[in-house]
Amino acid sequence: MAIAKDYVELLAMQALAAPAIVKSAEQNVATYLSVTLVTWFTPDSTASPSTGFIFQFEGNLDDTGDSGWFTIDQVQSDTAASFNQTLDNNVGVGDTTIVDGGGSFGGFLPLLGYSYLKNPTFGLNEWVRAGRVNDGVSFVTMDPVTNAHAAGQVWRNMARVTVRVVPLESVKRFRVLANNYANGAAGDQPNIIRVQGTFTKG
Amino acid sequence: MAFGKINSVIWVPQTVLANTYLVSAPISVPAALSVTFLLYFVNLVANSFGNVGPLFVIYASDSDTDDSGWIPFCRVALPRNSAAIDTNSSAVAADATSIATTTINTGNLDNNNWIFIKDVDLAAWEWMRIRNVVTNTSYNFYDGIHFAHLANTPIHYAAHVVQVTTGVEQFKRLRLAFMSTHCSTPRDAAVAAKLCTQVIV
Repeated sequence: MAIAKDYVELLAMQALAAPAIVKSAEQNVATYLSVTLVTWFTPDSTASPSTGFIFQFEGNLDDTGDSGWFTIDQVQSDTAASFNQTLDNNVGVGDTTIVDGGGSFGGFLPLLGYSYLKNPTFGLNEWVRAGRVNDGVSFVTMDPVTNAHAAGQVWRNMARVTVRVVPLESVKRFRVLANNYANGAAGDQPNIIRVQGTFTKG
Repeated sequence: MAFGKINSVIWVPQTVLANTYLVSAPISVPAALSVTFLLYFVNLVANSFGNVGPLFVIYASDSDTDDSGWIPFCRVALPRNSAAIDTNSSAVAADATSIATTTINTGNLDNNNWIFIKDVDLAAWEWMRIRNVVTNTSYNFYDGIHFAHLANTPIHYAAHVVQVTTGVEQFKRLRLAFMSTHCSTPRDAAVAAKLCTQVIV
């Protein structure tokens, strides 16, 4: 018996209004043992939500029907707002230095923390991780940026990337919910989200 | 060799009267590696169970036949709180994702809580999970309602659905019990249960 791993883009990068919810396609996991989930999240607003946003990882014991979905695990965001930082310089593909002399951001972008480069073209948005932070001046990304970004573009400093491993030994189906109803009707804020999963089977 | 999974219904929705208990038939698991139980519960009356609530107990046995060796393998203690009982203010169709209610959902429900819809037809009893509550107006759900319900169908708030996943490599049989007998103030309850078992095929 060999182990195999299947990658699935469960929720592509997308904007999620508030309040709103998006569900991934249902995954048939009848032969799978576990899934490693990576979630990307950033608040797309400078206002603070009243409570956090939730990624819900859900299982179902049945092959069909919606009567048995239950939450196996959750990732809940904090309630911090995101700053409207801006790029001082153009950033080319493969660059690693983000220059922003527009005031302190270090307290909200810790070492190895994630930020979100909000390109005017949605598909060119990306999350990057800070390997070195020179507060109020610049930060250096751990890996080269994937897309080009122009000076003046917004970047957000409250991004979060989280990993969860969820057992699926005796679950038939699996799905992910990005749930922006957690905040209740008032005080919600929009977010940018993405979820990928790597499913392991024997 | 690969892994496969077999799902089954242990209990369809049913009432367990106060001061009684319910025990399932033995479930044979000699080739199983793990199981996931999904356990459904609701307090059917608007009073609490007192200081001690009811239990689900999963019993395991290392024998194919001998009933002297059942051990309480896993206990799930259920909330003992009282159950506010609401009603839907208008008829609802199957697959709807919202129910209009009457008056009493303020402060009693939170997102991801479960409710129990006690249809006049026992076959249409169902547990539903709340996505969000519009105070004193409606509940919205993650998924569609399974059955149509007439207006003024009772909706119980103190509903719970619990997932238990555990390895069963060393056991031959399992059985499930719901115990109302030891509660401080026994109450009528409704339960249901499903099982999914992982095996090598």
